[in-house]
Amino acid sequence: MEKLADNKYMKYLLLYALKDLFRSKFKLISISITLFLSLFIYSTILTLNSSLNKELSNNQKILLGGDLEIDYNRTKGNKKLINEVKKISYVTEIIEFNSMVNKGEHSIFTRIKAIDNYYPLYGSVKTYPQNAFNKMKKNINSILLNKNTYENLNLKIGDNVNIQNKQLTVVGFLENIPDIGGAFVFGDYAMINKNTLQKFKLQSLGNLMNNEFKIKFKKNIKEKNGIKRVIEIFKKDKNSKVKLPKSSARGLKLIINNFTQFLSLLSISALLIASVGLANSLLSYLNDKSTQIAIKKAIGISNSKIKLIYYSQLLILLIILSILSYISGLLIIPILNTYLINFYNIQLPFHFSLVTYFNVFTIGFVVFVIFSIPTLNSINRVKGNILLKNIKTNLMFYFTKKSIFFMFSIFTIFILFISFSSFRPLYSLFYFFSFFICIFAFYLIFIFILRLLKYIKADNFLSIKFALKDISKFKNISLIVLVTLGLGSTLLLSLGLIGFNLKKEISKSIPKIAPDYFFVGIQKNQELNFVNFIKSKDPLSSINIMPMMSVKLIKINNVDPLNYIDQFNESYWFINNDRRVSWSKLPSKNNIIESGEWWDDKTEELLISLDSKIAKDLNIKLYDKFTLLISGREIEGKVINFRKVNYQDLNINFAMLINPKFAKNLPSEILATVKFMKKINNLNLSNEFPNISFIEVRNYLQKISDILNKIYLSISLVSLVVIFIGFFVILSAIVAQGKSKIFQNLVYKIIGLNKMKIIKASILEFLILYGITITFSILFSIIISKFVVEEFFKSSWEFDFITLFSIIFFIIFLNLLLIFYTNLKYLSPKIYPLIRNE
Amino acid sequence: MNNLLEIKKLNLIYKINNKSLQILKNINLSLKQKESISVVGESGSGKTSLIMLIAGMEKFNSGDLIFDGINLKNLNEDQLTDIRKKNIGIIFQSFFLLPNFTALENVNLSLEINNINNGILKSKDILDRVGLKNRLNHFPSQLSGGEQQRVAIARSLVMKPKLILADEPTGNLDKVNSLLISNILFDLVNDEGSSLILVTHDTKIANKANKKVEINDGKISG
Repeated sequence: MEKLADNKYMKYLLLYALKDLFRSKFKLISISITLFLSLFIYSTILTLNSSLNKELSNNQKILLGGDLEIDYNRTKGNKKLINEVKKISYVTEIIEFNSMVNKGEHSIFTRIKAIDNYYPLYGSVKTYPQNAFNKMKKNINSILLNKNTYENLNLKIGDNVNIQNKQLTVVGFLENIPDIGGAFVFGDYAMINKNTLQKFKLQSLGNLMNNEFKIKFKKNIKEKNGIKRVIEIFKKDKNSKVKLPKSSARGLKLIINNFTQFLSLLSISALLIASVGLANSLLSYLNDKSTQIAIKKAIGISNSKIKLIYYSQLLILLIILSILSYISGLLIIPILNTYLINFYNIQLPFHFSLVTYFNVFTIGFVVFVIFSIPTLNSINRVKGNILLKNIKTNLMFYFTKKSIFFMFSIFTIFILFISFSSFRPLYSLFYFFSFFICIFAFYLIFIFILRLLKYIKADNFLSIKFALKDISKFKNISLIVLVTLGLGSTLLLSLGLIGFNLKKEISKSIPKIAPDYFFVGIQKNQELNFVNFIKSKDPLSSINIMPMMSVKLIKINNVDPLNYIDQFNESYWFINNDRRVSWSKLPSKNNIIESGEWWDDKTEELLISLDSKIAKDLNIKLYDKFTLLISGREIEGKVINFRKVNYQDLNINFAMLINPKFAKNLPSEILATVKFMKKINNLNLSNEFPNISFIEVRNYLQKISDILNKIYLSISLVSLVVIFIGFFVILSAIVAQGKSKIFQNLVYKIIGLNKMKIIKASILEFLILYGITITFSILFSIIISKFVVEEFFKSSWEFDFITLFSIIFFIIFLNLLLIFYTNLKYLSPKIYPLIRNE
Repeated sequence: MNNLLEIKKLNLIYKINNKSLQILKNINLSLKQKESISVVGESGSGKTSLIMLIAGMEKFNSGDLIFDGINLKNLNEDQLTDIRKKNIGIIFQSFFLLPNFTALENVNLSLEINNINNGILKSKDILDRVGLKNRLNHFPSQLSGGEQQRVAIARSLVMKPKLILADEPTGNLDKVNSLLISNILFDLVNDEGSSLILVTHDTKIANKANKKVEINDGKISG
């Protein structure tokens, strides 16, 4: 019977909570907007990440171009083994190489794909005009170029282009190709048929040629068995490597994962900042309701039941807002699809994922619970006697030992969960650690300010006295303003400074020592002619020539590194494919030897000098043994030094160098860089050196800049939303502060204090709080941005006063505006209801 | 003796949801210096509204309200605030003390905003006179209702204003405290030579004033 009554009571309380929530909807606007925005960003990023990864894994066969790929790199495929595979599958052979595509005086460095009649095994090739792909397949001497090259060379259908002195007819342009997993994501590319390929001599290293066979199992072959069989067939073939679909689009996945990690951290920061604001708005909401709470207590409703009412309201609000934000996040997908389909032929799926929604809800719930604990605990402090004594109470956050322990535990679990489910857990942990250090630092700063204020006597300055009183009286709100503003400005200033440095990197003028051109594919017997050709263009030009050959790292200390190095390791590229190596008697000036020693002229055995970053990433120690496949022979050598390689100087930099004594008789070709002293408009090599390709550093940098600009834009957009949330939180704090000052302003009005004095006090309060906060924000943002730029972007950090000043001006201006607005709004309260205690 | 306050044909109309509600109708009232008037009437009759108009905290629609020779009709908010600051002390049923200021600071605030020297001494003195010598550094939340009202009285009188407006100052207090507070109020008003307009429901307290007026439905009927 008692239980029944209890249930009835609970039902009544919940119904009351719902009714009260509906009636207070306008008071909850700031809580709702803040929560919605932060959940919206988080769910958008989660949805995008899961959709992109899902799309990539759904399409990994298309991205790879088959159920399996046999990669022969520069060597020709073993026909016997390939024929063996053909018994169980369809096979298409693809040969990729780099070359200059010339039209008149214009040349573009292009990756060319030579295909056979079976291509593509998965997906489809989209061209303009539609039949251009079939036309290219059938007709020898025909070519399809990607749209960018087509436009840059100002081509028309039927025009001829020149590749290595051979004329090819343009039959259209490629809109997209299915197997973009390789080097085709960002660069210029073209497609020819296999018969056309016969015209070219492609043995030069500079062509970066690649032979690969894509495999699609016949219908009667079970995929699992097929894979097993193919692996078995190629087991002993050292020149080949079997690639599974999961390794397709590795680069793309790496970019997506890194990018998502960054955006997720940013969005969780937004959620945390928003939560500080939520706590504040909630406190303000409870302050509005303090009389109601007192009445409830007076009629015998317990603290826990009153809290239950508000927790129920928050839960209802959270459910509604999380659904809304998740649906809004989903709606981003169709918008994004219009861009993705053009760039990558990717169409993201538009489907409701309960797991993603649950993730959004849980994160929102955990953060909400943590931040609402000290707020709702303040209900304990409302005494029923305020109804009798006519005292205006200001509720404050209330922490008990139990609640602190509880909050700390949930928070720790939350951070660990987020960090370890992210792509790079240590980075995430480090980020959160810094975030909380900042919160704690701002908290300590506030305590310091409060202590300091006690010693300041301002009896003769009324406005200062009011300002100081306000800071200490409304310390909860002041603390929130300070922490939120501090975190918001630190984040904003850090992003600003990182952005400035990123921009600087993007628009950076080419390093003074950087060459103008890179030349690849120069044969030994062409060296002299090539030098003469360059000198004929500019006698004062400086030419740097290095020998180069291709090797393959097979084993490190007798173990195949592919067996234990993760594909997302930053230096995976070093072990994944053939490497070009060079040799030199002396170490390069721009490569400092960090450990070990340079080689002498006498040692004949293979000695290796390695990039120290690669050594660190792959856990390679000095004197470790490398087994290299050199000209078909396995040769063992030892790593004797690590160099700091600065790839940014845009000079010839090899990750791996070998000793010249060993390399003396090895077949090689030449890589050259040239720096001209005078301006050379068109460097037309196609007639005299059709096999030599070149890259203009300026163009190359432009391409990198374009990509970085896109990344910078996306980061800026997300940052803007975070900033918006930050300001919204500060706004709600200022409004809450303004609201709690209504009573105070009425008293001031009664005793005859004019508006200007009150505004002056508010501005002084603002200057004291904001001045100190912003000073520390500047300090923190300098440390953070310097660390990020130097450690993550591996770039030099520069302080920029204008960026800093503009952001600070923007923060101060907007906040001053808000303070003026709230002060003016609450300076002239409606007196009658207040006097009447309404 | 000259009139300190002269109210002629004063009207106050509120617009609520596009409907006009006349709160005060053709009020005529005068108050001499050092005179006290008690205003009685039913709840909602317009007593507090009248006090608000005299204090310059609300604007009236028509008529004249001349305080110390100045017609408040045409003054802006800052000018009204200035007059209030120098000449009028107000006491409310709900004491309206600043919760973050001590009793002494609450009283001293009126002197500070008028740039008066030796404010602390004067404030201490008046708090002593209302019997709060030992409560100077207590915050409102640490004082009883009667004590808070005494602080409010001290604050309204510390500037020696020409006029004290008291809106049901004993409305929240028990009988003993009501009597005590009203005695303190009338004694101090007499001592300082101020005039007093007192809104009250308590007949005994109302009878202490020199004159008694009754407001019914926005009109003076007594």
